Amino acid sequence: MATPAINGKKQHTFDAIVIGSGISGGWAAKELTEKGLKTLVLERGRDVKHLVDYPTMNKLPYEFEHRGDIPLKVREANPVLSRANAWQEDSDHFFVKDAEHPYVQKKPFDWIRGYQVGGKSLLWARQTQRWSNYDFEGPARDGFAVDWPIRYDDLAPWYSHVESFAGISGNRDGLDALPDGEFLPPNPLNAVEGHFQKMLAENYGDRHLIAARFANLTKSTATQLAQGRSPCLSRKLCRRGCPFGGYFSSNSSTLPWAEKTGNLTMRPDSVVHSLIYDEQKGKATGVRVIDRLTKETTEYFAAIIFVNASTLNTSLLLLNSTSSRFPQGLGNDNGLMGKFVAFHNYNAKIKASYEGMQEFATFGQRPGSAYIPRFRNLYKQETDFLRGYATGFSATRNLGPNTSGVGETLKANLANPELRSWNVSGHVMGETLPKETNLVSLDRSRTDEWGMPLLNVDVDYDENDRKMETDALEQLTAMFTAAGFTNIKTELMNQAPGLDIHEMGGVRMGHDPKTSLLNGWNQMHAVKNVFVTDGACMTSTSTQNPSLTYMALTARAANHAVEEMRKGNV
Amino acid sequence: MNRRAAIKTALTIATGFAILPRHLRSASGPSVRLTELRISATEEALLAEVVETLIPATDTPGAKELKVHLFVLKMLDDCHGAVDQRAFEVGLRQLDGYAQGLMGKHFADGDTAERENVLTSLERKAGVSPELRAFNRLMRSRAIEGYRESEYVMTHLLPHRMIPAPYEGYYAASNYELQEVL
Repeated sequence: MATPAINGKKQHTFDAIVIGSGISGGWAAKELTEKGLKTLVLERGRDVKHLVDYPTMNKLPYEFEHRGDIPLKVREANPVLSRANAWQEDSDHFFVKDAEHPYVQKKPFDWIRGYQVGGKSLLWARQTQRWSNYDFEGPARDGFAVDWPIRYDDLAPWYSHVESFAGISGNRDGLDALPDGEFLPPNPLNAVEGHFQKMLAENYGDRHLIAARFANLTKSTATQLAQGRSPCLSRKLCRRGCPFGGYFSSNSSTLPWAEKTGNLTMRPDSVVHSLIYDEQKGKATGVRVIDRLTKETTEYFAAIIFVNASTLNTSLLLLNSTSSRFPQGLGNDNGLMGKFVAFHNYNAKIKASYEGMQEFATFGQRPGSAYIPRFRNLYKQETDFLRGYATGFSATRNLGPNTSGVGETLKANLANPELRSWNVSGHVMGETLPKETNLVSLDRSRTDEWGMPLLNVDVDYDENDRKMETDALEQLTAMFTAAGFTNIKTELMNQAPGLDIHEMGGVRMGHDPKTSLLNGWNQMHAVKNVFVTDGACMTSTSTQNPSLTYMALTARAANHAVEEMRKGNV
Repeated sequence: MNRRAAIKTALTIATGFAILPRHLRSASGPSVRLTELRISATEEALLAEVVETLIPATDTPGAKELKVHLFVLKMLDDCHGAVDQRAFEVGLRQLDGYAQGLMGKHFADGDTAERENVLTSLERKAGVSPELRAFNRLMRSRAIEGYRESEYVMTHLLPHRMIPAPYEGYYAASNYELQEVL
């Protein structure tokens, strides 16, 4: 593409460039700047400063014109986004509208995006479960994808590193499937969750209910206080941005920390077009940026480049980074870039009532819930499908008024809400198998307003997913029955992939340059100064919410990159 | 609706204006900006009486004073589709004729018991048009929402606590029974 003459290349040269400021990009920025690297962070969306740009954070319910609802015309104009639960009147400004960045659904795929400084780290569900070796050894044991080039021991210290800084609540549960970490006090379980926990222990030796680990501060250690973050006050309004920094986001934590080093340059409104490859040097020397608003092109240069553009955008950007050496996209010698995309299957849901524990209710809100780690096929293959699922579980006892009647009777009822009975619900998070046929690619015949090709998304469920859903609902029904839950209702949501917002893969890690794009340090096999540490790097998906693993992989890769740079290897 | 009822309703609508109390009369539009709903100021005033009947003023303000009727209109206009909107409009227009058929006077002229009886009877299926039933359902749910989430109720009757307290998972259910005065 045409490159305008650049005045002062020096001002456009940094030690490191990080593309993306979401949950992984924020970590890259923090680690690199702490190590003294002058780091440019490029974010395609607008700036969102902690506390300053959270316009709804302290609004009361009656201050919202539609009491939280999104108007119908807006919903109808955004069929994809309208399926995302977290999109509400109070968080509307943090979600990308369907028309803002079009893509091609070869098969139905709900691509939910947050383009702003901080990305989706403002909006995430904040569950932070570690992976175990049952996850890292999964592909090798069960014969799918390729072997992960790392094991739990490689990542464990980095899990600790990010947990201590971010602040993760949890119990030390001592489970093989879900290693313990550096935990703040757990979010409490309630009476019926405690009952279910006991029933599972009595009826099943290998199925456990625990307090899910969450990135909300049940207390602030000196580490979080130094970030200006005080404990979570259980408002459960995280998606608005938190006035206390009570949950972890790039905005509240890693980015201001990076800024304090004096080594950070943040450039919002920067759509990265491609990475620049220098054939002579055999490395990437910089990036081409299109200003989101003016559409002007600029180039920036650095010794190392971290790609954290979000899973599918990372594939899009790298596939678009063509050169005579890499006509199929940067580092894409084997043609596998964009392929082996996978996700989590959130189709299976279950709910029921419970007549017991009437003497107990709950008070207040909490940012957490309960969690049943994977038990299926954990130690050995035991079903006709591969892998397994984790289940999010919660019990609630609502306080609500009788809304029948008219006049003074109704009015009195509305002023006197009554305790309802207990309801319980579970949602299944199934591991899906990365396949070459689940892929993203470029539609070069159509471009967006920044001249970038549209992304074809061609991802679907398979037979393994269907069998797993069925098994999950059968097993949960049996577990609910054993716990004495009644009125059990199961449902298959039939939702498109993507709505889980756990899309992974496309630029996977592996041992072999013939079958993977990245090595065990998230470093491109073919372009050693480029590191990919967002969801695109994932070789398999496990069942655990992936963000914590992205953070740990990023911190590990960034520290490795600095060492390699100092040794003169990149 | 059968033909006789339709004619009766049409006549009522045609003549209704002249005999409505002065405070319900207006030739202008509604007092809240609407883009989809077609509601006259007269109909808006009737809706105010309807929500006031549903949730009346007692020793605390009723729905009319809290402008719950305007909330109902706003939500119908912005957050519902054409099917709900048309049913709501038609149902609202039929309401006064229906009230006259039931109690021999305009809705607004009825006493509390008579008006309450009109709303209660809308819950029954017999003799109530689908539009009136839809109107009643939509009005009820949005009015109850608007009342419960009004600033008055959320600050005076059931104070909303944005920061409630640390979560308690084994909170004695009996504590809620003791909290009659919230």
